[in-house]
Amino acid sequence: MRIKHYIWPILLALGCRQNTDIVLPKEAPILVVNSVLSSDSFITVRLSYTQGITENVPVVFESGAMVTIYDQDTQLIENLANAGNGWYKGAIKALPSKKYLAKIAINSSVYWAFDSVPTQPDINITDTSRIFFQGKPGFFSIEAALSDKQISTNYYGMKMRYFYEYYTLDANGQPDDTIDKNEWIDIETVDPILTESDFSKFSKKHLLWSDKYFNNTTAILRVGSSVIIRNNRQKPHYLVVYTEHYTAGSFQYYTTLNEHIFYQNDPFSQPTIVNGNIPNAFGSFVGRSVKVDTIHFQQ
Amino acid sequence: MLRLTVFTCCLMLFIGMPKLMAQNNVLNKKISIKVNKQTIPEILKEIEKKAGVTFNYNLRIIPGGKFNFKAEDEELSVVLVLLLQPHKLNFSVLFGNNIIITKQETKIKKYTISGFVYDEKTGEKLINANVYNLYSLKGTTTNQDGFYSLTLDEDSVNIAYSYVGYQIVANAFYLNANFIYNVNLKPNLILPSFTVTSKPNNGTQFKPDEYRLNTNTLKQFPVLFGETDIIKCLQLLPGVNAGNDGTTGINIRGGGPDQNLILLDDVPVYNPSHIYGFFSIFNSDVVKDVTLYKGGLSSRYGGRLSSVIDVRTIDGNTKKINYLVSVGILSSKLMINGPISRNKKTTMVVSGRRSYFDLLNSITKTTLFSNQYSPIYSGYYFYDFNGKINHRFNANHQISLSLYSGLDNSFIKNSFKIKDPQKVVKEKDNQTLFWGNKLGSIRYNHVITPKLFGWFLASYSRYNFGNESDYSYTEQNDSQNIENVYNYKFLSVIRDWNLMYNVEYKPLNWLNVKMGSGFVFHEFSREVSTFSNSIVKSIPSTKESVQSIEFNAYTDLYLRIHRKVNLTLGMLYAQYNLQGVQYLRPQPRINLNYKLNKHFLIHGAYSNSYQFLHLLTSSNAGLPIDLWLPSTNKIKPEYSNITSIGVGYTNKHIVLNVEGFNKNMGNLIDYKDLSNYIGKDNNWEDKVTVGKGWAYGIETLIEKKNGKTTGWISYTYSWNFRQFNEINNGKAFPYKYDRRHNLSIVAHHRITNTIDVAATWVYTSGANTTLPTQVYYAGSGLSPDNIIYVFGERNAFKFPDYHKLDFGVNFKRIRTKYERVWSIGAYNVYNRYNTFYVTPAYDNSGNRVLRMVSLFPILPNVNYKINF
Repeated sequence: MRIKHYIWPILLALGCRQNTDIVLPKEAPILVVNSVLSSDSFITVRLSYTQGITENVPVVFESGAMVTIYDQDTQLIENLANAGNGWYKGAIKALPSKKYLAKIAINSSVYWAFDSVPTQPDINITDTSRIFFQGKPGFFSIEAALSDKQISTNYYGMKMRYFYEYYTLDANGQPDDTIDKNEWIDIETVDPILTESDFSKFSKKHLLWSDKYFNNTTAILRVGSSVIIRNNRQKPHYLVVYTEHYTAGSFQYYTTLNEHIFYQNDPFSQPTIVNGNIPNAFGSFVGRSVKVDTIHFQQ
Repeated sequence: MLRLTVFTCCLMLFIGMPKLMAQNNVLNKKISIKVNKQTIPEILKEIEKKAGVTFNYNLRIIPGGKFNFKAEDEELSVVLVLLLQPHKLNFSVLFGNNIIITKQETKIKKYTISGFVYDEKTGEKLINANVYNLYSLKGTTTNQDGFYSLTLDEDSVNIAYSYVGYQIVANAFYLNANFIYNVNLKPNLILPSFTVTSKPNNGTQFKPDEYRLNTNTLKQFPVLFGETDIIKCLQLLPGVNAGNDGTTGINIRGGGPDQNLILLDDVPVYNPSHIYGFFSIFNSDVVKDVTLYKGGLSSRYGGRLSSVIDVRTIDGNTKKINYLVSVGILSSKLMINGPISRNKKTTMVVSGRRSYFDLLNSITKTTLFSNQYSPIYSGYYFYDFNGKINHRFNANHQISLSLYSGLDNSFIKNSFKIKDPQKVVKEKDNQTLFWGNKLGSIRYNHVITPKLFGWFLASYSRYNFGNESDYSYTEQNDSQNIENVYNYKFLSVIRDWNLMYNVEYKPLNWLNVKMGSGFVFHEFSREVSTFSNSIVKSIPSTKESVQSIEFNAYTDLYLRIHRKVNLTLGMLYAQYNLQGVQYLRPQPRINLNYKLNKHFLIHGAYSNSYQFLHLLTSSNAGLPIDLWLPSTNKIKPEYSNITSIGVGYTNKHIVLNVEGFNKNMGNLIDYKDLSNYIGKDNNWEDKVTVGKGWAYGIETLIEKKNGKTTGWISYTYSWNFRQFNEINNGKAFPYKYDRRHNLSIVAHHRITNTIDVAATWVYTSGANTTLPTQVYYAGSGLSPDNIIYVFGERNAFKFPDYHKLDFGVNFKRIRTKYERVWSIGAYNVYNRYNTFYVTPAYDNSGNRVLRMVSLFPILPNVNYKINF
């Protein structure tokens, strides 16, 4: 329940807005680490710094850091190379089920982070889409058979990216040119496994759930979208479904991230914190695996 | 001893002297006398010589010993009072110059005058009317049921009855027996006074921590959207903080909104707000009397830490059936009020009010959030209903049944339908957010003896809030039928069943005893139910219910220990049980007033209170997402210790009060930094943290009570802090309702007997808020969708100062058969943009800024009310 959706009509009707000058104290920038470990991908880390809320300047990146990756027994795996613009890239691919330790040294400050790479989700997606005529309401749906093969708690996520052509019109209203576009779309579901998740309520674009209701079994999930085709100048190509398997650390990071974004401009909520896994710094060094399925629309 | 001396002097002066004067003027003769170490007979002899009189007395009644005595040019009567009174001796002129000296009667007979004070026009009982003896200036006030009991010595008395806005009635007679005297007071023809302090016209003491608004004063306040709101009126008093713009939040002396015990005819109200807190649930036309107690609380009131707001509704007109129709911009009201039996012993009040945002919306076909495929219709309404049946068996027995029901409902509806040869598609999506109170009570009052009044109450209070979502999608085509249904319901309910019995006993004029006992049965329940026809694995609905029992017993002793000193001693004993957890909490309270002279009063109070219910709130606006939760083994009862001391000054026209207070609170709860709204999760104890709070400050009130222009100025200078181990890194932070300055000016001017104007101006320091101080990007792609705010210290920033002016004019026409009032006014007259909240946003150039959102610009209003 998001209260501002209900109170908005009153605020919109009566409210007045103006920008205000609240003097905020200048605070020292804090390191931000962005790194996602994925199986069969090179380890990369991007380092930047926080900036003041009204400080409208480009992001400041860290270019003088030493980033070293160890395994769980602190055996050196590799030193990441400085690729500029805050990027530090490795040359060894991360492996599923393996644990990694990162040491980020900047001058005399040292930051540590630790997480593992989960296995790829075992999911089989079936297209059950029903495409209506262009310009009319459409509802696209898939059935996803997700096998949960471990007794321990597993964490999953899903996102969908929609690729389509878009016709522009000339001055006479005739088709002029086509542009390829893509965007993350809202995922709709009435499946209780997803709707009952305390985590999915924070983002329709990024569903997150645990195996609470289907531990060590297979769940058939029905998801879709009703707003894929919005006008007759749009020609759908395909949909890419990203099904994710998270570690506990990465799941916590993304759930708190979604919750934070969900509430961040809601005046009726308390501020929420994004739970990273790096002491004294923001961001995360977390692992996840993604299975990608492409659904082509029938013409 | 001193008290008795003064009493005897008065007795002699009022009783003895006139009799003596009637016989001759021998006692008027002035003499001077000075003796050292002489017996009483020796001193009397000396007086005989100087005054030319003869004393007759029995030596056995004359005390032994030698005394010094001096009187300089005093009348004989005074000399004799000074000499004889300390020895409990009386004197009287027997005949000629013969004066007899007798021993004073040790037992003076006392009699009690009791009864009810009524409004002559409507038959309503008047609460807090003054009843006092004009001769001795001893007096009392009527209680919440309009009953008074005044015990006086046998003597000539002149009992005056007065009430704000009514003509005084005085009745002189010789009191030599117990009297039951019911009085009807006639309303003033001119507009009634506009007053808020409890200082009566005469006789009884000034109560600095008690403020009263009666129906006449309420009618003269400026209104918002055509509604006079009693909570908004109370917000103009010292020590009372409004919270946010336009809201009915009420925060007293550093407390939260949950720390106020709000009673509607003695039944607790858990959420007194309509429209997310912009209106209160109290229909001002039904309200007879509102009292705010913010210090020196009676022990009768338990279960809250800060204050008591006691709202009394009218009993019903005993003279004739009366109709009231009121039409405002956003809502309208209808009230029927009058006798329903031939003997007029049974009366009823029925009143309803409903807003019409949703009706206007449906007429104008306004839609929000809609697109071409699925029009979305959103709306909002509230209603409330008050009902009361009152039956007077006789002057001593009365029973009343009260009901209240109110609901706020906000909804969004979305539907579409497609029908073509190939298929039929239907989709419906309804979402509602609702909250409301239901109250009911049966109250039986009886006068047991002229000195003893008792009342029994059985009540029920229910507050619920929830949201529902009903979704259905059906598609029928040649090959298949698809039906997807999804229902979701979340409901949180708190129910109270209450039984209590109270008595008021006035055995002596200087002693008033109030005591009572009762049970409260609380039930907290939360229900989450989900239904879907496409469930992979069954998900059970969850329904959690927790019951607790509270037992209360209290005694208050109101002692007039000296003509200048009033002392109230109270003790409330509360026992709370929840699933094997038991808390026993005695709560002592003391209140002391010392009258320096006719005008000045020094007062002090201490109260210790426990609260077994916690309100978990995540907003400033008093929204219904606030959850009431019970004390448990882990979350202990909240407590407070409030100390206050002050000086009051009163005269016929002015009341001035300056008071300092200090308040400490413990076991307060709040969300942890990481947590937010508790919905389906039942592990609420893990989401909250326990801490403490403290507040202190000075409150000032100056009120002008008489004349064409009346009103008051209140100012509070205070500090208010909270500290939790798991919030703000354990550092203390200012509470969100911390306001350093809080100033209210309220003025009312009577232009003619039918036209009056009122204005209020409010100035407070800006509210505290938590703002993000830094930002960063989550994800290496630096997507603007993934900007993360880093919040600074809790409540470290202040909004700009808040101020606004409200103004209203009432045009009244009074005829024999009807009375109508046009009210015209404006809220926020000079259109001040007061901050409702601040949020990060982007300006037209794409730069990140902090954006201030204000709620109410200038809002003119017109209201028409007719009473016939």
